Amino acid sequence: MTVLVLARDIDPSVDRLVEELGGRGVPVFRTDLVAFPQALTLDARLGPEGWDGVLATPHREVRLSEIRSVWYRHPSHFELPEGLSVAERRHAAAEARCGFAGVLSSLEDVLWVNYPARKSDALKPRQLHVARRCGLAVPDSVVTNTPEGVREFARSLGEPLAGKTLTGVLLVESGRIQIAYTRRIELAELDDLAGIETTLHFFQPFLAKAWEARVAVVGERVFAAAIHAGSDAARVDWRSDYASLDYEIVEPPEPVVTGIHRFMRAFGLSFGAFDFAVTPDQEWIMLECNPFGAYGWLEDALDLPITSALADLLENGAVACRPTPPTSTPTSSA
Amino acid sequence: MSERPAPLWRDPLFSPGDRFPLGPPRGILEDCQEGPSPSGIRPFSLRHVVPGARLDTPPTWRYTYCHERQIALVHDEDGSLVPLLRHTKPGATPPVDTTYIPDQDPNNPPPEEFTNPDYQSD
Repeated sequence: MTVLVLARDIDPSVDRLVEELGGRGVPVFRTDLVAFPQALTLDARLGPEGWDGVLATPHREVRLSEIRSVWYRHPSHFELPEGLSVAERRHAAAEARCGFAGVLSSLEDVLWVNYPARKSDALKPRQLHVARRCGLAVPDSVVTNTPEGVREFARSLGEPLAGKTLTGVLLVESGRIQIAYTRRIELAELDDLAGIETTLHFFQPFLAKAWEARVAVVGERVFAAAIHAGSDAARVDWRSDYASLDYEIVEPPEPVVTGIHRFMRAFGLSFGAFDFAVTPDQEWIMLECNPFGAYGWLEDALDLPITSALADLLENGAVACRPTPPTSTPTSSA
Repeated sequence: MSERPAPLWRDPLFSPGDRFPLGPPRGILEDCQEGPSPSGIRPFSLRHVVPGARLDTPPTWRYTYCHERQIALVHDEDGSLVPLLRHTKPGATPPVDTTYIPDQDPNNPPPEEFTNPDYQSD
């Protein structure tokens, strides 16, 4: 039985996992969907037992029925042939996406780490709502495009805000990457909120943090690292100054672990990278969970056996971690 | 509080594209030469962005994908090929201000979104 890895060619965490699985004698088929259709083919047929067929590159192939688990880690978009019109390109891309997603997601008894749709399921505002239901502490939060909504929120708190993005922090302008880190917003700044109306904005109180934590959850296993910020910039957003950070292994309190597992089940996750703020009173406040988050640098810094745990999960295809499939049958419009 | 919250993945909001997200080919960010909009139009959340790498800066390192081992190899300073995941010589692996950041070096770890660029997926 084979582990299918859908990932970019250059990703050291994937390299490490592939070598770990190889060392265990577990067959691996790694590809990036950018290889389709030039160097990747799918030939699948629906039979009495479901979809079966072959996924192949010029270097190797795997029968769909041999796939035991899938690691879905940021695969790239298809690279379609030159010469297609815009309309043809859109059509070809949509057909390819529907075909891959439909066939692969139909494979039975396959563990996904994680199902691709978990990304769009786990939107940040929804995460906070679900986390609270799961017993995790979360910050007060507001999503608004009205200046008065921001000011009212700040008045109710009486303290500075943290301004955060709801999606990615990167954009490209004038040929240059721009990074929108979390920002501390003083109450005096709220006089000028120009641009708030342009789109929805996300604010929380600026929490007093003793330290922060990144918690990687692999199946039932929990790996937690304290992140100690060593600069003013890192105390606002640790991603802005990695050089100042120190790490240590920590154990989350049991109620937090319980809440994490409830959250994982609620979203059908088998892997999650959680961020917590830990207050001076040692309260763990969940900020977000990235179902496809990074962990490699912490694994190296602290010798956390995250790759080994992932390999265990993928090798065994733990049924317990697989989300319950929807019980309703979609209505066909055909 | 429910011990087993209701399943959340039966969501009608998203298209198939959102439910099978794919990043930009090879993780390379799409260049955009357009500059910021005037204050008042530009989203408040983008007021204090921090500049990163220019996209026209050529990478200072090269890699080769080994189809046999299914891992990336980088060209070391002496020209030899070594697995990227074990390559720790400073200066050869991409620094933080380049457009690709690996997920492995504790002295050079990734901003989450660099390794998760599906904000660009269509």
